[in-house]
Amino acid sequence: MNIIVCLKQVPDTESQIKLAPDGKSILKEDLKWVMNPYDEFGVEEALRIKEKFGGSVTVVGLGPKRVTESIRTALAMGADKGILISDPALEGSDALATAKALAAAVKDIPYDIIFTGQRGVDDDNGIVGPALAEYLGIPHMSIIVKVEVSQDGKSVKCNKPVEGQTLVIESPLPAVVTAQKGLNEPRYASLPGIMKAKKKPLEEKTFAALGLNPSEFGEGARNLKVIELTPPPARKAGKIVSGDTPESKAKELARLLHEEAKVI
Amino acid sequence: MVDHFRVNRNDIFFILKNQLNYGSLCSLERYQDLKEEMLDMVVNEAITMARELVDPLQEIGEKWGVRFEKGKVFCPPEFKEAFKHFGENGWIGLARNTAYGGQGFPHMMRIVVNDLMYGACQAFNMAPSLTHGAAHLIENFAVENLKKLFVPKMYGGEWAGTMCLTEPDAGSNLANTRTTAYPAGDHYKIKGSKIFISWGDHDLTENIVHLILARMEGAPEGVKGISLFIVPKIKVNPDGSLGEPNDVLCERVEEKLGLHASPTCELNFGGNNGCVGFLCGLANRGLPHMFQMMNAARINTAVSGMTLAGTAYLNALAYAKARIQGQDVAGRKPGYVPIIDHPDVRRMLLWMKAMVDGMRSMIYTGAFWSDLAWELPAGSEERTHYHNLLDFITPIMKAYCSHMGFRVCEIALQCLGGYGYTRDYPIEQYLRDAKIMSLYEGTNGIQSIDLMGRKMRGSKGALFKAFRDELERFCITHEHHPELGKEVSILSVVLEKLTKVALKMAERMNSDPLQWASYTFPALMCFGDVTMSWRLLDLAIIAQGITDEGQGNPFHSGKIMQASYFVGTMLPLTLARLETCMRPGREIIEMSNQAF
Ligand SMILES: Cc1cc2nc3c(=O)[nH]c(=O)nc-3n(C[C@H](O)[C@H](O)[C@H](O)COP(=O)(O)OP(=O)(O)OC[C@H]3O[C@@H](n4cnc5c(N)ncnc54)[C@H](O)[C@@H]3O)c2cc1C
Repeated sequence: MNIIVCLKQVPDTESQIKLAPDGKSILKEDLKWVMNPYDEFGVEEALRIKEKFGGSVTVVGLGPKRVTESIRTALAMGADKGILISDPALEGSDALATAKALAAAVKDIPYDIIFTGQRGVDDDNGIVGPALAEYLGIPHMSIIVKVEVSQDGKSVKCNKPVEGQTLVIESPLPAVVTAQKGLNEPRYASLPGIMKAKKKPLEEKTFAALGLNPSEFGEGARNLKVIELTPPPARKAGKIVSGDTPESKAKELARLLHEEAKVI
Repeated sequence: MVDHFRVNRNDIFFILKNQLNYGSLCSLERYQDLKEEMLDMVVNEAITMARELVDPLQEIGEKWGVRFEKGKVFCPPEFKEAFKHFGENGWIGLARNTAYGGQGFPHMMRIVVNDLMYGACQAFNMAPSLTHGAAHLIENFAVENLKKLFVPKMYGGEWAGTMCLTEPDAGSNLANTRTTAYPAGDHYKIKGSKIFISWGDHDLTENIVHLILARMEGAPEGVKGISLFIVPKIKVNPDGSLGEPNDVLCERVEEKLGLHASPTCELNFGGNNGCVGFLCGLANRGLPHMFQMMNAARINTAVSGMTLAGTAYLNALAYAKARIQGQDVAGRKPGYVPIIDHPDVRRMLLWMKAMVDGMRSMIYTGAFWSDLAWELPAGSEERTHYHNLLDFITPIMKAYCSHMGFRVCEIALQCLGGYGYTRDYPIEQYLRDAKIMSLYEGTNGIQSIDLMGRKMRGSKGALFKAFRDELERFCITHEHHPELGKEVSILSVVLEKLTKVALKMAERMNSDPLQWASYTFPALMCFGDVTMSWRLLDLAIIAQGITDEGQGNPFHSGKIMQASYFVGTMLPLTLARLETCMRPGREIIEMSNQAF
């Protein structure tokens, strides 16, 4: 089974996000970057499928040089090779352009299943996975919490939560699956894994190598324009309901909701 | 409450990369296969694991405590899982040789990783750490078949290990060890009792391998008659499978101030004459063998004290930013302000910040030296230099960081007011857990005697000279630094005074041992202050350089200001304290016992 995982780097939640002076972007200098948590589920699922069926896992990242760090982390978790799409023209690209670049990079390598995160925790778009499937002309299943590849490796059955219910969907392979929290518990990289990761191949590809036209990427080519970024309003202090027993707490809570918040 | 553990990744990497250039270790022969980015990955992965896997154990362990039923200790299932994870993923033997199941990373990485794991849960991390220590002793000193039998299973986390030194009448004074080993063919019969043995019994693993100090029957009295033995809890068959229990009984577990999840056990060996042990290393060389490892263990104790201080400080900082109380003393803001705006709270925060960063830098520097001391080509002058430095600084790190680490926890608690005293916040637990560091691995009093005695005089003064040379070189290089030259000059003055006092005290050790012994501890603390100032100024000068290139931000100004604050407020006190070490008054000695 040939499995591809697309991987994005996002600011770690421990980083303090600060707006850039232009009011439309964030300051990137002092951020700690990590693998998008949803992509980690993708890596883990890919490894589990490989452990069951054999084959190889290729991780494709996109962005500046620092993204290799996250690709190496995936390699240390057990992926087999890495590809970094890196080109100065990428800076400022939107989700559709990102998907286009990814499609160009994966189309020439054999694949049976492709994982992406269901969205990046930074931009919260949720576009790249489906758009990648469109560019490749294959089906996609988004926001997936369970993946079962058939014994013959020709199709996949997925669970997708909808409105408190579970939708079970099936698709022939190859297909794109976008991973949702709950799909699995991603493993930590082990020390032997870190040792081995060093020897695994990690290729860097520019637009020229992928035959892409730089003018279709970057800030200028965006379909989605950011008009303004504002920090969320400061949260007001919460209130802890006191009481000696759960019953008295519940009573007090009901009173507060009724009399102060006036919601019930 | 989850998410207790706090650490600033940037502080760690600034020391590792900007200050020490730790990637340079990869040019040593032992590390040829490594690259800096792999070391970075180990640190990052350890941070993730510390936060996600180990931090929750802090609260789970505190609630569960130690359950002792019918001679057996039971631990929380989460501890068992975490221990297994440590073993299977290579963390126990991360710096050990690959031949016996280690991962071959630099020695210093063990200290850096322990910084994170101890900070997240001191009580838990003692288990893998002791297992490492015991297995390392076997790897270094035992015969081949014993190494093969025990070491890979211990690094792999299948079996755990302990260090059994202490007996009721042999605490600081191990010369009085009474546990006895009777020769019986290719092995020994062990008889005796050990107390205070950390992780002496538990259910994390199916076997526990005790490394114990005992006296062979008929061996000379005193330290020269002590040997080291390997004593498994369950006997091990030649093929590595487990046999019968080995007559090792856990008689009781201590109830204690902190480390509630770490079982502190009284162990009885051979109560039914059925306890088998194997000699580890040479007969009657048990103490020197043990002490060869002890240096590493002492850096480890230092790192515990520092990291608990670190997480306590960052918890206090978060609280100070959120807690609204009182008005700005100068009316800069209207209404009530977060307490971080009060100068007296800031004073505490800044002091803690400087303490933690300075201690971390001191410890990482020592750990870095340990790689140079052990892995540079044998016989080279450089290697000897780093050996000397490491030997000298070890008791300073151990005593200073454990002593001050505890105090930082106390000040952190102070920042929270009454809330800090409650169990709603993690600091009171850090405070209780941190207290042990000044006691075990040789009490701080013993460390000061070691420093001002053996270490000052060691190799005809070469250890001290290495330390002094290193600091003098720093002072000479930077005394005209445009921004920090003044602070460097103050350090230079204090270093000179320290040298005078230390040399004088070294003389006094013979001529007036009582007066000497009265002041070894304050003298050690002076060494600590000076080492801290050196490390903090070094960080500041690096940060200043980055600032001069236009790349500076509050992180860097923090490094600069913490150094000038520490040097400006601490070193004058150090100077005064050095005076007191030389005072002629003899109250300490002359006051009669009845007068106390
Ligand atoms: C929680 C916990 C875990 C422990 N874990 C282990 C373990 O895993 N393995 C193990 O072997 N031990 C362990 N210990 C034991 C610990 O190492 C000893 O408690 C320590 O070595 C001190 O010995 P002692 O308690 O007998 O104190 P003592 O030696 O009686 O010392 C009491 C005081 O006298 C001072 N003193 C003693 N002798 C001198 C001297 N010659 N000159 C000046 N001052 C002196 C000491 O500094 C100290 O302040 C543990 C202890 C605790 C509390």
